[in-house]
Amino acid sequence: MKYLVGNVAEVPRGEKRSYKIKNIPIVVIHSAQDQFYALYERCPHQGVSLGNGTLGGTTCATGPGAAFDYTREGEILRCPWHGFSFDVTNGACVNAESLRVRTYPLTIDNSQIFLDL
Amino acid sequence: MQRRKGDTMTILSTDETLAQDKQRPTDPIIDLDVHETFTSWNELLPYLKNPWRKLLEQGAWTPPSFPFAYWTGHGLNRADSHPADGTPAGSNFELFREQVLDQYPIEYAVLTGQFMPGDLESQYEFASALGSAYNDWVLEHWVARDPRIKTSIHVAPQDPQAAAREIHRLGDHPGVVQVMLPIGNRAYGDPFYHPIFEAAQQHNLVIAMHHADPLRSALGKGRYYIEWHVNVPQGAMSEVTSLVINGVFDKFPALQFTIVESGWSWLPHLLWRLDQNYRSLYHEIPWVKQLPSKYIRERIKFSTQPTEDFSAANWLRLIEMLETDRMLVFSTDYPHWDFDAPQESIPRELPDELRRRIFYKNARELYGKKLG
Repeated sequence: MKYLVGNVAEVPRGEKRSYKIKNIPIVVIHSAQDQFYALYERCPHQGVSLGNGTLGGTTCATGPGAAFDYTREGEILRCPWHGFSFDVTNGACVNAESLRVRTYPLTIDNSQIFLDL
Repeated sequence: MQRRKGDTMTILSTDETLAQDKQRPTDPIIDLDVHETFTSWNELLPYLKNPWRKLLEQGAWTPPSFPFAYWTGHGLNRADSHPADGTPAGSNFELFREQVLDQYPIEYAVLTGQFMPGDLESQYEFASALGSAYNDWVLEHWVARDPRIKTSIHVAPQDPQAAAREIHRLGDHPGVVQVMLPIGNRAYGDPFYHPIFEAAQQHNLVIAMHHADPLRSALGKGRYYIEWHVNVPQGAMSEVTSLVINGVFDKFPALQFTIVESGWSWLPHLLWRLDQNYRSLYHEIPWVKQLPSKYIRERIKFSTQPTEDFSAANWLRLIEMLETDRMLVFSTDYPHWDFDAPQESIPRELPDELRRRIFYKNARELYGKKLG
């Protein structure tokens, strides 16, 4: 069933915003690649609100002393407490296989964001 | 000697215990830590070229000595390990053969030495030359005398290129199974030391690490020897952390490691703490591709000595926390005062297969074809 979340203008590109839909906390992410994602808004580690976390990217380097690269800007959501990193495209906790946040399908219709529950 | 049952201990006399051990058919043992030594530094003279030989002959160098008095009643070594002729403990091959090789069902004993060239904090060329001379002396005077003996290549890691040359010189010798790096004041994960790992990997040698005199705890040497000795595992923990954080395991995918004489009961803590920090801070070290605990479980073995006399029940609890029975390897530490007798230090109540893993199988897998 589809539920109205809000207007796309409420979540500018590269940002996120928390909502509560049917009493379920949701964080909507508008990635740098202009894609929208929705995640359950509580960290599976210690339950803090992921909506207060940091949306960014991830690092790449081949070893100590090598040049760092920064990729996937806007696709990694980091928990505001312990910094656990969640891939907004699938909810997986990066480098902690046992942790994952639920993802929800989103649709955009006439600039309105709808959540499938 | 002590015998464990559950959380209780029964004391047997030494004669009683040794008699029981001799009667019982026992699986083979690989001992990963035997501290051989020479009777005098002059034994190295035939293996040294000038100018290094002259430095010894002229008394131009004072070898490092232990910075402690030992309060065990008999010094650094077992009271019965001192040869009757007054030569140093660990210097008499026949006595070692009697007290270890023939006393227990030792299939292989791995020599680890007492002199570590890495202890010299200056004149790296001299340190490397002493290491080479010592290696040649050990091969001729110990390894050649019994097929059960294997040894370590001693290098001066403060000069990694020279260390690599020494590894290439001896790395394919059939008596050599590993490279010894002293745990003291160097974090070997640093890329500065990677030429050593590159050379070791090329010759299928294990990297062994063992604490040495320069080791300090987080708060320094301490006011007393017991303080220093209790804190020895801090060095091992730091080395393991350094290897993981600096990406050594992915850079050298065939290299295996062993941490010797630092015990292992602290391992669950380190695995948990590394994993916990990695989940939060991996952005700082993106070259580390998997949980630290996975690297450590797969690539490092830890010698059991000193076994700390905890119960069989606690052995099993700790091994359950490690989530594998493949990490522990047995060592005696002969002739040192905290020597572990095989049948007394590893609780008899442990499952037979676990005991076989600790005494033999894990070390056999660690060294592979190097043991023949």
